[in-house]
Amino acid sequence: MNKEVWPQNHSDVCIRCATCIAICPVSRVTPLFPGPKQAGPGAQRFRKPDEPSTDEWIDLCIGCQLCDMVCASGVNISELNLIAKAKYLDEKGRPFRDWLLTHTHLFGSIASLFSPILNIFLKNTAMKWLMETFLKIDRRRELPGYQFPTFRQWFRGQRSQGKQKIAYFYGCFTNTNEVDVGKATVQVLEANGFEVILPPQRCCGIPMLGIGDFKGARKMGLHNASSLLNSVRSGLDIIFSSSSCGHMIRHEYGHLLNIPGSEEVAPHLFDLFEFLRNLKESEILNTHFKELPIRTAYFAPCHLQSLGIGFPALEILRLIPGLQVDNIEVNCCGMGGTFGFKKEKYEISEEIGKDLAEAIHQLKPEMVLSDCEGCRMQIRHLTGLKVLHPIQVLRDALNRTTLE
Amino acid sequence: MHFDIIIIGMGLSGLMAAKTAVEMGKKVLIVGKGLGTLSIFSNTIDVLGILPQTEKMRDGLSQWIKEHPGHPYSKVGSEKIDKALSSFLSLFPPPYSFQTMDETNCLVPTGAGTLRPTYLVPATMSGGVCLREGSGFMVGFRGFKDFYANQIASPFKCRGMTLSLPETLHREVTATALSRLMEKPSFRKSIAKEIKKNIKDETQIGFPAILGMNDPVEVKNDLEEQTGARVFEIPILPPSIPGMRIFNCFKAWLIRKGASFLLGPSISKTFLKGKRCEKIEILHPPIVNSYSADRYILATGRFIGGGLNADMEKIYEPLFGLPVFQPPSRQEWFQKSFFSDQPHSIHQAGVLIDSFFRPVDEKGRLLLENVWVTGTILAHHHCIHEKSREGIEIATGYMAVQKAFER
Repeated sequence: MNKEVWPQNHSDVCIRCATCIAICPVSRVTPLFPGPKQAGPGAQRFRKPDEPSTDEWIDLCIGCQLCDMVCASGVNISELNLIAKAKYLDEKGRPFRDWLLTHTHLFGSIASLFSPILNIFLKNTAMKWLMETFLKIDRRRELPGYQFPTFRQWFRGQRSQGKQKIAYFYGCFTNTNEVDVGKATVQVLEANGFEVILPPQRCCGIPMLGIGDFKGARKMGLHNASSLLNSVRSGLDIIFSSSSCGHMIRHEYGHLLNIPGSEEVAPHLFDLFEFLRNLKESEILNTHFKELPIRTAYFAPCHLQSLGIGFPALEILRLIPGLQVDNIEVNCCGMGGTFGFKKEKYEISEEIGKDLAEAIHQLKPEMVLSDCEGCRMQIRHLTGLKVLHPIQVLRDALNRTTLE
Repeated sequence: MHFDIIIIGMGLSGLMAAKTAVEMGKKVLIVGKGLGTLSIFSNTIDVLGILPQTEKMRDGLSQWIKEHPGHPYSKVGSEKIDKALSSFLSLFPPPYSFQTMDETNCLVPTGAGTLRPTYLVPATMSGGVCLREGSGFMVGFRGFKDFYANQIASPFKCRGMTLSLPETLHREVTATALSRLMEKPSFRKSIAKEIKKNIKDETQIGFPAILGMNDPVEVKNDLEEQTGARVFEIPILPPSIPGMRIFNCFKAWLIRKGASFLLGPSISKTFLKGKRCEKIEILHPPIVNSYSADRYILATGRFIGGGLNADMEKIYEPLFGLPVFQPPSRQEWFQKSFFSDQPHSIHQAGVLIDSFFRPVDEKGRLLLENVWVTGTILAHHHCIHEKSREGIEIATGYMAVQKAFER
């Protein structure tokens, strides 16, 4: 993307108070990353656009945006880091592995078709060894299996009905890897009287943005924004079930990627549980819940926190009788999207995750709930527990009769 | 969304206000642009450090209130200050509890090698209160720039040592990284071994305040067992791990009790109708969300927290545009010397309130009916000079909510 339109930064309003260091998950576990204060506004003062980047450690910023959230001075620390990361990696070049990890949407439907064979391959030790050796994808990491039919294919066989229409941005992972999240979303929305529409959509682009590939991310964004704009202009609200996709579309499309139409879309785009909370506020949420005596723990993903909507899933889940929901008081799971798959970053990812795993261990839940697929992968990997999207539990709590 | 009360500001005062409202069974939203200053200033709880160590806090406060009728403490009253402090303390049951030394101020050693008076001290720091000359041994870490063991040790005629970090290759280490390392038994074992090699007949070991985020007393006890000496934490430069412990504790409690917790975006606009605040808007570009409540608490702090701003001419309150009591001209903001014995006048600037904690102008006329003001943004205190920051935050945060729901 054209550097002239990169957003203005705010490094000079940083008062060096160090609050961001107190929250940064990466500098907490490794001295290799100097922390948000140094890497962001600190280093920014020495950066010159026409000189080569010297920020070898910038690629270790996991992109959680917690630093932005705790800064009382309003410094866009994570944005400074992301732009610096883009410059560093543009100059240094990105390995094929990074392209592969950020373009899984291109082979998702084929992978889904061949999932019975492919999934065996993905779990195979020799295969993992090859991937680690040649692609530097860490073999300790489980690769997510594919499902058939995809969510979109399943949806085609449905006849969604309701008094009011609503559009759904489901995201790649729901489409090909966790189809039940999409099913549950549709079922809960239908139980609340909505007819679900699936506008044409591609990857939201957040994996590319995460490695500073502004151009790749913008390409995705341009496609999605025009499709979502059509939905909005035909009077629909849009909901998302993945907090990362949602955060990307709502906040990064306009500000970072300068995508036309995105600011018109954003006010009509809602986190799934934010939307359900609005229904609850208007006293029209379907709350015919049955008792669900399960002990769960809820983890709020960084990008959900960064949406600035509080913890809506927690508020809705607490309406289910019998369901125990403990909030996990830890910031960042350490997965960072594709970050945790990379061999050179796996140990950092795992170390950050250990703090979360420890907190979960103390709560002793039967299952863990989280709104982000990355967090769910990491929690499964580190705890071996059953990990679901909160909407799946909400669907289970709704009486069968109201679902049909 | 509509709430019974919206609390603006996530520092200690806002958190105390939120706790108080939640305990009254109210529907609460707490909004914070950033973390407040707990992670910057707070380690122990100062109430009125300026009092001599011989004087009981309760007596000193009563006298102070008589002599300073405009001070925030005088608006609260000594009985309610007690209640507010008890409410704060109830969030910190043992092991990580706060205690007073005989209900008077006590002196804790600091990372600058000085002694500082304070009132409530966490269990991990109480060991430092009785530091005697020659009996302490200070431990720093190579690459940790906020604590120089030998420099801190020398005013106390003690010895110090700087440990190398086995698990780090880099030149620098942060307080959070050290704090996390401290939670690992294997790390504690290795440093205890090093310390034992170097310690002679010292009976107390002083560490920077990085003995773990989640269970610092366990870390302290384990180090004591391994070294045979009494271990204590010394408050250091920001970020303050003890301040984060306080913040985390409030946050967990509030979320558990069902308060809405909104950390990050700042309030972009308030909507007033006559003397009432109708709603607030939060801009998180490109989204604007609005929230309304029957009552609002302004707990946005002073200059660092963003509650007060200064331009070249004057100091102003940016959110509601409340008048700010301040020195008549910029020339009078500061003393000639930064380290003057007299407090800088700028620090007494702040928002004026009536006896109900509602904002008033200089003539005492009520400005807003459903907004209550609390914390260090208030006028007529010198919290730096008086060493009263946390006490004011706790007492006024508690009291403002009591007043807000009084009628």
